[in-house]
Amino acid sequence: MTNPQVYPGGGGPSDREVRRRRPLRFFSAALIVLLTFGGLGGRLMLLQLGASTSTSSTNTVARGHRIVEELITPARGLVYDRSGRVLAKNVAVYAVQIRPGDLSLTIRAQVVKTLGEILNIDPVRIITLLDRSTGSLWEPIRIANNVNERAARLIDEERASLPGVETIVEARRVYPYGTLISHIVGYVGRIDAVEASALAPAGYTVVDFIGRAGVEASYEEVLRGSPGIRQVEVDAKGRLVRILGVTQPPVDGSSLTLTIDIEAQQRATTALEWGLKGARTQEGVVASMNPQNGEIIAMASLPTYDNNDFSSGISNAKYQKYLSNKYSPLLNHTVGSYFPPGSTYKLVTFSCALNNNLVTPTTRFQSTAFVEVDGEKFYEWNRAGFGGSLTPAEAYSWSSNVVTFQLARLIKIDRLATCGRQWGFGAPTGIDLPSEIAGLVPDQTWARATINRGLYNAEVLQSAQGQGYDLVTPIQVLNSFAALANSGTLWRPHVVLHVTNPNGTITPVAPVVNSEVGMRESTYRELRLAGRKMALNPGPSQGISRMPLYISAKSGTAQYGVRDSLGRLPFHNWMGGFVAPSNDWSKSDSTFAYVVFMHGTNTTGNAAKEVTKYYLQLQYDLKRDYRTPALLARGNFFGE
Amino acid sequence: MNRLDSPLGSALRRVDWVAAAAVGLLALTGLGMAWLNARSYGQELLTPSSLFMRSLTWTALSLVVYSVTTLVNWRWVRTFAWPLYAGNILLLIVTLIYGVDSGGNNRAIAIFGLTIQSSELSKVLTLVAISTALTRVDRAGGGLQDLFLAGAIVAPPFLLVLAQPDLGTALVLVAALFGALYLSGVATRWIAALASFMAAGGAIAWVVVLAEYQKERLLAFIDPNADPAGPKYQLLRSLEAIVGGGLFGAGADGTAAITPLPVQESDFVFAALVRAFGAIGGLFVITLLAILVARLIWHSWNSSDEFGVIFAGGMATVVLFQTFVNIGMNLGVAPITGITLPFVSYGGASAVSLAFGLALVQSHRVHDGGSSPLM
Repeated sequence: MTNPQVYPGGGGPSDREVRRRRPLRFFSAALIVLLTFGGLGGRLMLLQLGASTSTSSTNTVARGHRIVEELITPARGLVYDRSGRVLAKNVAVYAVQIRPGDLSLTIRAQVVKTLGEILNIDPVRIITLLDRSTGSLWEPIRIANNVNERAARLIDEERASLPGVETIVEARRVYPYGTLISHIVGYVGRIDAVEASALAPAGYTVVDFIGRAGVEASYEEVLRGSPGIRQVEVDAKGRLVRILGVTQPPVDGSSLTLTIDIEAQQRATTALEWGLKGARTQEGVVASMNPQNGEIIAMASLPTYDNNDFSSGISNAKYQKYLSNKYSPLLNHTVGSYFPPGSTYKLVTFSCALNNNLVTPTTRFQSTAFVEVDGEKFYEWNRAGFGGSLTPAEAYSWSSNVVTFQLARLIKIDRLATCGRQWGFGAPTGIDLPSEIAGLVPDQTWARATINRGLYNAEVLQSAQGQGYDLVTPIQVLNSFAALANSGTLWRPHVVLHVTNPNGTITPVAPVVNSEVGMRESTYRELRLAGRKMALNPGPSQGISRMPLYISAKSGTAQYGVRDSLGRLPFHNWMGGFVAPSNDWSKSDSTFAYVVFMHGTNTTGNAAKEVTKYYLQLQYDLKRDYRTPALLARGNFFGE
Repeated sequence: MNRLDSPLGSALRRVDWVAAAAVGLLALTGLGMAWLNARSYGQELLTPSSLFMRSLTWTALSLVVYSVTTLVNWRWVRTFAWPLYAGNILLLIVTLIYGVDSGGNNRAIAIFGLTIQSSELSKVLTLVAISTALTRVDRAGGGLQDLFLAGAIVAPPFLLVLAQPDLGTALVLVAALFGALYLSGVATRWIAALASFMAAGGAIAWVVVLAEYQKERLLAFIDPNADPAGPKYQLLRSLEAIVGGGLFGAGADGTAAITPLPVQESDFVFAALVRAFGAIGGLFVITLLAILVARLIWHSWNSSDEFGVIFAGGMATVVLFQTFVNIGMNLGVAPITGITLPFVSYGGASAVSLAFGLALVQSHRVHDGGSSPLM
């Protein structure tokens, strides 16, 4: 509906006058148009001219080809055992990835469908992977790993209809010994999107692997090397035409040689598996080290896992199975779990009393059935006593609780805690494996800060026999007995013997002294003898006395958890000590310290002692079998 | 008022055939690029979902819209300028609430299975509203009043489009506003004042209103892939393609096998075109667009009424601005903002909206001076 009254131009007089007042504006508008289009056309021609007259380096690249910079992934260093057996190596596998920026949204559905058919993957999963990625459009997204060669070739042939889809060859980590030494070797895993940004400055991208556990993690920087950069000419389809040059050569990763020999590892594992099976339990540790330099000889922690599961991309079901196992197979219990040390802690209590001159090696204590503290009776573990009086060494060999209580009352809690820390408890040993924890040595300061009161006398007695609040890791117990064997040196334990760089130069891992225990030589000798006395004591040694080895030992039983219907607590079994080369216990020349930990055994005998016997007879190649399988029967005896 | 007896021939004689030919050739180029892009994406050309078939559908629809709008007397849009404007605002609000991401930054709603990018239509309908408002005889003319009126008309669609967030189309709206104001004779000092005011508003919004993450989004939008896997990957690949195209290009067969450029069906269609048809092909498109803009300005100059002056001038600004930003970003002289190249880029609603706007200018010419062959 037009209204000429309101709108001029609908048949009425035109208003050309109005327009004619602004010819300048139309002139400048025309000028702008001319400049804009002239500018665009000029810029286009300049680009072309610039290209044709530019230096020859551009001309050597054929039309449609381009030069791109590529990262050269360095070869990851290998891991060898002490005898040169390969524990971790690299094999080539195919993988498929998509660069979303090269895959237009308009054809995505079709490409994904074709790719899904070739790889036998649900297209929806590919779409999900693409949509979920938060990174740049030009960063490749991994679609499939471990693709077989036939599928990889098919994708390369179909390249024209699969824009943005790339196949790559990459190295996958393979661990020939798998479960046997997975806790030490560890595994590598792919970097996830969240980590990628944090790791970007170090040159990692989302397609890279990084060490997740074991030496793969703790020696990541050594194993990885540093990536190089090369310039390559690619054709219009992005295919490599030729390598123009390496801007920066990659430095391959260095290789590691472990202090552990796979055969020694096998012996520890065999002994532990036998003991766990006999005791019908699943969790335990057998570890040994050289007290002269801190080298780990063997370290078996069960249950274990297959590190090959992880390097090839673990399925969720398998991963959940590992996570839901209450014995934590992914955890190296030697360094990553703590438990009450039980009577193995009497090393601390007895050395503390002797070194502080509270008792002498000849002081005699009455071996009674119990002691009474604050009106409460604390019983000997056999509820009877061992008859007459005992020297400290004799009490140690019987693992007498009553004598330990009497010593504890002389030492008092803070001095006991100091001695515990002197022996390396309450702090990580600094071993070259990830996820080590510190444990706990309770004292009054800790108690006031944590439980808001001082420790009761009864709790002090508990602490002296490795119960109550005391918490230790098996590696700490091992290190304390190694320090006893070498007269007071606490090494930083290590599993890597030396690092070999790509040129073949070998750099040994120098032994590092964490600290000295700082007690008198006579104290060490007295405790070595006391441990020897225990190993020879026909009752408590449980047959170790018959073995033709100079063994010094201290067993332990550590109660934990909740009482059963008969009022009995479940318990772990411990055994720690060393093997001396001669019967001269004033010497500190042992090269073999050991620890055995058996979780929740509740056996008739000390299950750790049985495992120790079997481990030592395997390790020292003894012909006789010293085992007493009957002692692994369920029994729940009174703890030492 | 029925003048169905008027001869169609006289109307056809008055059509600006130069502009119509330019539009037709651009649309054919766009169709050709869709064919090329479909091939280079490896699509089956004749399936309904292929880029080519969808482009063919939209081009046909654009042709129908262009022809019908040209022949029908343009005055209906002036009559219904305000209902159309209100309807467009409503559509923008609905899009903002129910719209889905159409792949870029602008959103679309599906009506009867048809995906409509409402921001495209808002360019033409807002221009219609401005032209209508500024041509009332009772206005003072050329003063501050015009400026406020036009500014108030542009503000709602501008904000709604910006919220999508489609900064590209929002900027086209601002360009159209300035083009319309300039040619309608508003004093230069007031236009300069408005420009300063908007610049200040933008700066204040940047510093005070926007949170850090919003700025990042805005920056990412202006240059969506700034430094993605190497600096300015899209731009580098675009420049490579343009240089690689040489004077005559690799030809359709030569490019079909080549890895597609990033978003070569819309944002980087010009680079893909130069890669296939060389600088000659690029200059051909630039020339066609230059002819189209020149004819629009010519019509603005020759228009017998103010509506024609402002509307044709506004449409000229829209085409000029889109051309400059799109080709400019392909050539590395403008920021990457996701604005389409008129008719050559694939973009259904964009082509139809432009066809509608350009045909209104044709209609204005055909039905000028009260001699309307139809209606």
